[in-house]
Amino acid sequence: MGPARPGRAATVRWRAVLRFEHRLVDALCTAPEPERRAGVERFVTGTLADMPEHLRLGVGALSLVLGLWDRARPGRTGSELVAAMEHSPLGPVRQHVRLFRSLVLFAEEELAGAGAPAGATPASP
Amino acid sequence: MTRVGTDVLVIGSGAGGATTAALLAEAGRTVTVVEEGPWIDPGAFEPFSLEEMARTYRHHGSSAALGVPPVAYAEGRCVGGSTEVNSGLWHRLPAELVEAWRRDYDIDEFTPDSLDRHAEALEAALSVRRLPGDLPPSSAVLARGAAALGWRSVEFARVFRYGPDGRAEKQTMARTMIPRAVAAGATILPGCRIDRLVTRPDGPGSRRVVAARGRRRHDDGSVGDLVIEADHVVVCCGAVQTPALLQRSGIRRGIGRGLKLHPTVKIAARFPDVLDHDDVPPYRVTEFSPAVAIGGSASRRGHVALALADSGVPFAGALADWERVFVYYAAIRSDAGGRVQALPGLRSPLVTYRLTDSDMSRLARGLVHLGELLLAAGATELYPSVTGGPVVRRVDDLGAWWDALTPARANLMTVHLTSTVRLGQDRTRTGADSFGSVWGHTNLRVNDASLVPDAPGVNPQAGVMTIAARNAEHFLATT
Repeated sequence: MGPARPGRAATVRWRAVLRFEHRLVDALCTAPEPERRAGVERFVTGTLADMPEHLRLGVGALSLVLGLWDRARPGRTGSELVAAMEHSPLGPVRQHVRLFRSLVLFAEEELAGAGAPAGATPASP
Repeated sequence: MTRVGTDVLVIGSGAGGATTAALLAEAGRTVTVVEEGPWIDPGAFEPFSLEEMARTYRHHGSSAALGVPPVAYAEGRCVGGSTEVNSGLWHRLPAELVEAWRRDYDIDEFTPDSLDRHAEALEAALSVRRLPGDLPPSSAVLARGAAALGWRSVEFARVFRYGPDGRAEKQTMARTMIPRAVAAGATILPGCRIDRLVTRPDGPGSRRVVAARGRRRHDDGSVGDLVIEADHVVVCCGAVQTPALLQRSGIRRGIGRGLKLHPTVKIAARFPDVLDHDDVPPYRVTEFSPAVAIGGSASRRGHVALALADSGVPFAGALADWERVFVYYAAIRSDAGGRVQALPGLRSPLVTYRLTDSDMSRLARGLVHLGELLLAAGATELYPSVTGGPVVRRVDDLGAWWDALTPARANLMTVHLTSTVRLGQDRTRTGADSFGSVWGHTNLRVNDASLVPDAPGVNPQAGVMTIAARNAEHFLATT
């Protein structure tokens, strides 16, 4: 049991990170079409997964903390979450939402421009 | 496990590696090229598109040199390296910089004339030429603004071949030097990452590479160990990955320090008329060169959106009108330096870069000059890549950007990284000798952007290939 605990704890933490990041991407994405939204999510997920490890670790750690902060405020909508992060007095929080907004915006506009189906964007290289 | 034996192992297939492989193979050497990324058919993706970023850029293009401010950068990771994803602009190294580097780093046989001989041969091979016909609208903006202000400007040549129908085809390494290398008998192994070089003592104070160890991804998706034994090893993985590989192999002296890049600020400029968005303008304003270079960036719909968002002000109206918006840049030669440091247990190195106060001042000057130029060319709105930087519509308002561009608010990027294994005979400031032989090693060379002694102030592909051809010639004459 002992050796398994750290792995399970890490998995739980990582799921919390991914859950918060999924919520953030969903809140930032303005495309109405489900296909384009799925394509955006695939691109953002693929980009985050492909980041240099030390950068991904920093992003993941902040997502974990922000996820806990978000869960302490039940009922808050996605747009309220984004607004709170954008107006945070803490620079790293503002940079965090800016990173996600950039990824979402780029993918959203490119997919709109291409008129591409979601499947046109690979999950990872 | 895959075991390979070869005369020359070239690690990396970009501008430096492909040039090295082609010239050595054509001279009769047995050459094996390993490339971490996949083989992608040239032209498989639209240039600068989402799919191209996902498939051919390292980290989907999401790398950054950490510092205040951080500098985002992108590298190619496929056969052909960054030549597959760049704009293909061709600038010979400025003669005054070549002379200065020769003096400062004590580089043997490094003169404008000696380099020009190699540059001419490469230009013929790569079909370097100017765009046929009239300047596209995005380039005409730069020409018009420069003419209005009395500033020097010039159209640059590119590595493009144009068909009878006017269709342009970028002459990347996968279309030029790699096929030449293969035709001469070289073997190209995509999907191979070299983790470290194994060295053994080889005389007093000297070591020799006896093997390169890594992993190979096979066509069926399986991954296995890879060991390559070679008489000579040439590392050509670019200014970030080359020092990282050497450090992982225990080779650290003069390696990874002194990283140089061109910090770049951008403006999303809105015009009354629709502009072309399929290509990067082959046109530069050279009035302030080499300290500050002004030109145009990739401006697909996604890039326009990103550039508008960098301003941190509402931009929905401009984004809805994106076909009339184009992204232009000011890039500086910076006083600062950076560092590449391999981290134990991690695949990616830590890259840091510390801008100086004078760099920030130069960036602000470049931003204001770029704003002047774009307004003179007829732009109606300018969105700077400065968070909270005010949108400018009149020249009188540009002064606000001087104070707005602070380390905390600047959004910077670059695509030109150099100088992490400088060449020259001054052992205190270089990682390799005048022809790229790594100090203290008898059969290990570097032949890529890492060798360029300082940021050249222009796109480095021509300089990298020219130096690589020069060093390949020296290799053939001495081994």
